[in-house]
Amino acid sequence: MTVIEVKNLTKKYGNLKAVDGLSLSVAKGEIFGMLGPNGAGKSTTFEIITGILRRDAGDVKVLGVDPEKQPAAVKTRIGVQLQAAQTFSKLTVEETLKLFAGFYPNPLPVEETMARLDLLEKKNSRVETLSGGQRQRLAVAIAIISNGEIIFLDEPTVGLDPQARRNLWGAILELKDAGKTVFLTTHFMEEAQNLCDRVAIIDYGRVVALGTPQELISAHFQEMSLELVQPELRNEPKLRELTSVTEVVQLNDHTVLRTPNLTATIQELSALVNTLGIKLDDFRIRQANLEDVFLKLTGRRISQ
Amino acid sequence: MKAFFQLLTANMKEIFRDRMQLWWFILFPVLFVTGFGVVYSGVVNPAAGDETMKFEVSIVNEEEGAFAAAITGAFMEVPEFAVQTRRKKEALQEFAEGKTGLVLILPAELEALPVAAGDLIKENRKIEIPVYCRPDKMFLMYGVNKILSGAEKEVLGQPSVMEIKLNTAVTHEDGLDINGGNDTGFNTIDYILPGVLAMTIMQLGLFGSIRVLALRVTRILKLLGATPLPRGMYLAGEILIRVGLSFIQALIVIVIGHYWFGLTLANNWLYIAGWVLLGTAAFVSMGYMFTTFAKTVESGNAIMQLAQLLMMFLSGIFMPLDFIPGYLRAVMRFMPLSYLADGMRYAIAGNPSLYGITTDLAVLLGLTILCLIITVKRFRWE
Repeated sequence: MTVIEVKNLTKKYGNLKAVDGLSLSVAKGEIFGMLGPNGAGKSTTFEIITGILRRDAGDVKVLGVDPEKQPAAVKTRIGVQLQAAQTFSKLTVEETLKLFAGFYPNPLPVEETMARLDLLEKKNSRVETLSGGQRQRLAVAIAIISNGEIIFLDEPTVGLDPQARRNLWGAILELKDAGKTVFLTTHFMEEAQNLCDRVAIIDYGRVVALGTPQELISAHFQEMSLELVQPELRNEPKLRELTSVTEVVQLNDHTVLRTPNLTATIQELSALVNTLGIKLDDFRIRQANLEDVFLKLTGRRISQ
Repeated sequence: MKAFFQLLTANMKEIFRDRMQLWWFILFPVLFVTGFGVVYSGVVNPAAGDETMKFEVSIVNEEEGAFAAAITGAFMEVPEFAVQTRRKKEALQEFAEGKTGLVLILPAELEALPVAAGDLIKENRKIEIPVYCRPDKMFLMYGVNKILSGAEKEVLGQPSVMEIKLNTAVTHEDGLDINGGNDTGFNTIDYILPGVLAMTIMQLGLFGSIRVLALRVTRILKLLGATPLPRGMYLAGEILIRVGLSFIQALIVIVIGHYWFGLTLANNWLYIAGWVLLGTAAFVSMGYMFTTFAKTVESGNAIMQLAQLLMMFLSGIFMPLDFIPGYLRAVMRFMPLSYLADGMRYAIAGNPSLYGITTDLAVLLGLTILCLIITVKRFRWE
């Protein structure tokens, strides 16, 4: 069952097309991610779908309802966390959640929501005293307490350390287990790859690829990636002459060689460094990931 | 409705837990009023043409006896007192009109005191000495007490049998036709304090609305916009709180003014509340209108500061009308605060209106409507 349906969505700010003919659909119960760099149009799309912004063209249906025409009908059935939105600084965590719970017809219990996001020990702390990570968790808690059928999270793990990020992923997976649909945006490749059932890669307001993370990767890469970090090998033209290498990508801090035959490439590489008179003392081998897919599709990296 | 009250409570907590807000909207007006009250109640009354720091004291001798003459003499020896003897009716009339700050009435039975003192003590009875003292001249009572007990000791050589009966205002019981002293226009406090109240209402309206800018910048407004809460409800709550705060301010200013500094109360509370409401409406909508021209809290603050300074000093609220030069009176006509101050002076103290009450009402209502129209046209949630 489709719970979000977006067709040819367009939104302009002056001459700038923030969203340019974007289409996607989200099925009930899945964790759907919009992956893309900052400024790709993720947040604009997000805010149009959640009924905050008006669109210039296209169709949007959330739970079968147009959020622009019947905002109240949509907003009572979804929970939203907005990027960089603060809450009332003088209220405590518990007061804040009670306040937002009061806006929804059938909210989750405040206590349970705090427990899910590790906020119990902070329940009586004022928001102004919380750390960045705690505030971020509170923002997600506000979305979750709605008990909405779809939970919308805009960059939910920005500013969190890796451990806190993993904890939050746990809370998001719990939502999926509880039968909720989760729609999130992120510019963390890892988040999209580990958390999302399906991912839409967004660039310049368009969907450039859509599918499960594994589908996206195998559709674009059969090769392995070999990453060279030695400065001596930077921009080395002879790397392009290696016969087993299909592609050489020079990035700021390392060089990526793509190869379907890892053994052959390593042999060729050893020979090459010998003739160059340097030692090969550091390289990494990995499978392609969504970052590579993005790089291949757009020529740019998602995060810097 | 439940959500609305929750939001209102949340908002109230936000305000009352913020020391800056408390300072600006509650303590600041208190300090202001007290400051002005003290300054202006100490000013020599210009209407009386008094140049030196002398305090007018009227003494009424109900019987021209030796004891009364001795007390009168003692008063005359105090250099700060300008003593005059009057008949009771005259003295009270002058007091009611504000020409004297202190009236002392020495009753006839005082003359029998040296003989009757023993009986009075036995019967545990005292002679009442009525004293009329304006609230802003209370410090004179210290001298009155001292002179009376001194005279008593000298003449009687024994403990007090006189009791001062203090009045702060002349009442109808005193047999005078008094109109509350409203139409005399003498009372500086009656001019200043309603103006100060108008000013605090203006400040609340202007600076209170900056909150909406802060909420926009921190994207709280947007987050609220993502909930089922109707967007207008949030603003309605904000405005309701401003109105509530205005009433609190007004109550504080009027109570302090009335009980400490003798501010005249010429109308009932409901009528005054009506003016407070109108003033709040005008300046809250003016504040919101200004916020639509600002992108950040800082720029909003700058706009409000400018508006408030102009109005504060060019609306004649700090100076009694007699002191205001002609050109300033012309400028005053362009300041919306002038009309609120004028209305407040009429509503609270019964001062005659400068521009006419209908004009005041029309200007404030017109301002409210104009600002609301501009605000609704220009307001952005983000």
